[in-house]
Amino acid sequence: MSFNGVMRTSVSGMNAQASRLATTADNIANADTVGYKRASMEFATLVPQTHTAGYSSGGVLTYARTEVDRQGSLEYTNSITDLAVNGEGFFIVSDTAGTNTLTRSGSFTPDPEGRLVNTAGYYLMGYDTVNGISNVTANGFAGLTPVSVFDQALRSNPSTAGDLHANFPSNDPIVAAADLPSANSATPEFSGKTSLIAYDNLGNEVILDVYSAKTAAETWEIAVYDRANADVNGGFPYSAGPLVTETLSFDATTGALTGASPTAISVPVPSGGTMTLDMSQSSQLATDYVVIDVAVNGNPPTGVELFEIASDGTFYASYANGERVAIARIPLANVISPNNLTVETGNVFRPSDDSGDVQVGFPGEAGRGSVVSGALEESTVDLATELTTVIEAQRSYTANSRVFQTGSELLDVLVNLSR
Amino acid sequence: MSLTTSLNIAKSALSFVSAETAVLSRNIAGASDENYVRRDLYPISLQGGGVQPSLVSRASNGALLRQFVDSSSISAKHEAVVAGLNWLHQTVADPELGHAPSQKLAALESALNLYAESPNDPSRANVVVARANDLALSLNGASQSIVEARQKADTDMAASVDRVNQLLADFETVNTQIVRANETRTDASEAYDQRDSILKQLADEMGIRTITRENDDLAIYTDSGVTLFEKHPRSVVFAPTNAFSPTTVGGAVYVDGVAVTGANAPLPLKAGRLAGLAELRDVTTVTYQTQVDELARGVIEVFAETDPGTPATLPSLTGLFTYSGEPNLPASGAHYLGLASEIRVNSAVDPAQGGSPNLLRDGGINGAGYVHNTTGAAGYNENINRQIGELSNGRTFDGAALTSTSDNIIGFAAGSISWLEQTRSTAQQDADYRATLKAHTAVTLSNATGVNVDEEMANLLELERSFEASARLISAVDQMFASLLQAAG
Repeated sequence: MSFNGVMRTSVSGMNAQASRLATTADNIANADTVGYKRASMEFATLVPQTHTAGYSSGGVLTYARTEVDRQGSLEYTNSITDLAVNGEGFFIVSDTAGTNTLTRSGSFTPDPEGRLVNTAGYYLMGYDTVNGISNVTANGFAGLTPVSVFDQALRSNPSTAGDLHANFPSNDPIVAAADLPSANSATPEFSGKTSLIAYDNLGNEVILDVYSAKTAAETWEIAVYDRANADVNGGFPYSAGPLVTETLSFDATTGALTGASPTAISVPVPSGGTMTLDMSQSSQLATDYVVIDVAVNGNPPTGVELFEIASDGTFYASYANGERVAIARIPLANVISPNNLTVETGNVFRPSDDSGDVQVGFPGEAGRGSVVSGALEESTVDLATELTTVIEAQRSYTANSRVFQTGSELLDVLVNLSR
Repeated sequence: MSLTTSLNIAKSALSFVSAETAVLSRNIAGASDENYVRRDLYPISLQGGGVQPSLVSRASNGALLRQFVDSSSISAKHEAVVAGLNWLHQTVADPELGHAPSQKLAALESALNLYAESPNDPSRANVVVARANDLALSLNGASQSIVEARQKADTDMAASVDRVNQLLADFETVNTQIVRANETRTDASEAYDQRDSILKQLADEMGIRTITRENDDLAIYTDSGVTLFEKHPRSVVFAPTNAFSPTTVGGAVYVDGVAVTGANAPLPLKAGRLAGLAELRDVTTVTYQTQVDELARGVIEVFAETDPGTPATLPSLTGLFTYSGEPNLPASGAHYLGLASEIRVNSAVDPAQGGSPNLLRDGGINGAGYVHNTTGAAGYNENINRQIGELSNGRTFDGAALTSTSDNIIGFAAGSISWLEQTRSTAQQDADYRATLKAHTAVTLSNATGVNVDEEMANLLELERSFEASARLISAVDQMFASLLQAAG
């Protein structure tokens, strides 16, 4: 037992409180840092060899802890490339040197090359899915590339399917064979005509003229022509015969197609694929020729208009024509003990021996959280708590210094005894 | 939950209120615009507290809009017909003006009666020729008016087709905007307003049907089922005729390569201004032209010269009135297209052209074989009385004239006038009825989708309160922090 021991103990106490104040300072400074995890100081006793006769004061040991597994509340923004993880898991990001680390800080914006980079300068990594995902490594970062929002090629798709549901007027007269649209005379008779826009292999628009004429009771002939062959007025006679003709037969009782009737027409689109034009919902009722529904797939060559990030991490590119293509998928990484991750500059965490190996998977799988687009994870710092900690630390520090002062004064008394 | 979280929630509430206020002010700005549809904003709760404004939602009503569009195209059709008929009424048939052929015919009859009383009076003969000239001019004028009405309808059709093409081009722009906005889930209210407005204007020109597709993409068809717009506008083509004559047949309007007006159109338009104009140009005025032509043919027949001998060996030839086919009479009982524009007084009886009016009394316009008054008696009136008698003789008219097919010429002339008046008043009644229906639908539509300023003001008060409450919350949290900081200091 010595005054020196008491003074050393109170110094260790003061040091501990100073460290605690340091974490608080860091917390308050980073209160508005996206993805920041609150740091705190844990204390443990340091006990010297004990003597039953007296008491030797020891000291206090400090351990810094970061509450990595605590989720901050989500703050919503207007940028779709602002990402947050709702639940467990980390984004995998890479620095310019290509070193992969983990982060929850998702305020990404495209850099001049289109790669998504966050405030700290880390690139978001994902799997390229344009040709399907093939190389996911569950326990490592292999196969990951920076997610890029540019450099998406123009795309066009030939039409392969369509719908044309119409009502054919049941009371219209029967057309003689020579006057049918399929005969391609100059003055055909027909009950209905509609035109559809389809796309060929290179994305050129092909206008298909679809004529309907009654050939017999409850029987209708559908003739499809290529508009490119039309006469000057846009109609008959065409310079080439119909692309396809098909005969539909209707039920006289229900007005719907009979079971034996074809329900679709296979249209060979000029310089394109074969388009299956579904007509199954067509009817023959006593009213005018009415087109009920019409749609044709395929699109002309278009560039990327917009991106969308789904909650399962899939990165969609929307083309100008409305087509959505998955171009990348963002994985989430997780470790057994997130709180033991090594904290590094830039809100990133590096797997350490204590944290366990990294496990890579997709959002929503195996306990991983979901990706929220247009949101950021706020820091887990609560100012009121921090300010309270400041007061506590201040009081503790003062108390420790008072012990030191007392020890010092007593030592003074001791020194004066020898005079 | 921490104080910071409370602050964030209050902040999101503030931004929601300000977004709502923006929508509200847009509503008030659009209150007097008939195409403006009320917008609303709804709060969406966010994970971890707070609210976010939903996408702007429009109080649109598709069924009412469709009704309005339908009634407005039918109304436009009737209006077009009425306008044409009114014009014909004013120029040809207005009894106040006395231009009508029937009135001129009556004047000629009374002049003839006076002449028959004293056939030796050359001044009375001159009056007959003058009245005959009036009748010929009246028929020429009527034919000309009909041609002008058709010409005007044709020009209006060309203008209407131009407008349709322009509207379809505009439609493509806004429709693309709407589809894009729906894909990207952004607000397209302004584009929706514009699109509805274009649809309304388009419906005035022609009857339309629409199909809503994925992402609110709209396809437009004519009321007869021809494609007008599907991804892109289809061509609407019309070749106007520069100069009309009674024999001209106007060109047809082609939509997507199919004729939609004209007698042989496979899929004719049923409503809209174009349908009305086409009906006026190709049906109503053509019928009226037939009537005027038949009237002219009747007049030529009435005053034809006959062989005085018994039995008659010479054919009857044109007399007081003649035309380009003189001296033969036009074929009996059949329509001679454009005769009314050709009819004129025979130069042989017109003193102004060196003719002798006395030939009316004596006969012989077509040579000696047709002279009735062989003795040259000045008091001879049998030939005049024969012609007066012909006026009240029944004769056969072409069925296409749509009035009585066998009547005397005076009855036919009166029937023609009453046919025009009847058609005009029926069309007028239809037009009035449709206009009322359209106005009614417009009111219902406006009630359902328009802006009620009172309601908006009430909402504004609510917003103010809500804003104040959120602001109060922020200041309360601020005070709490202040007391904490004071304790720490």
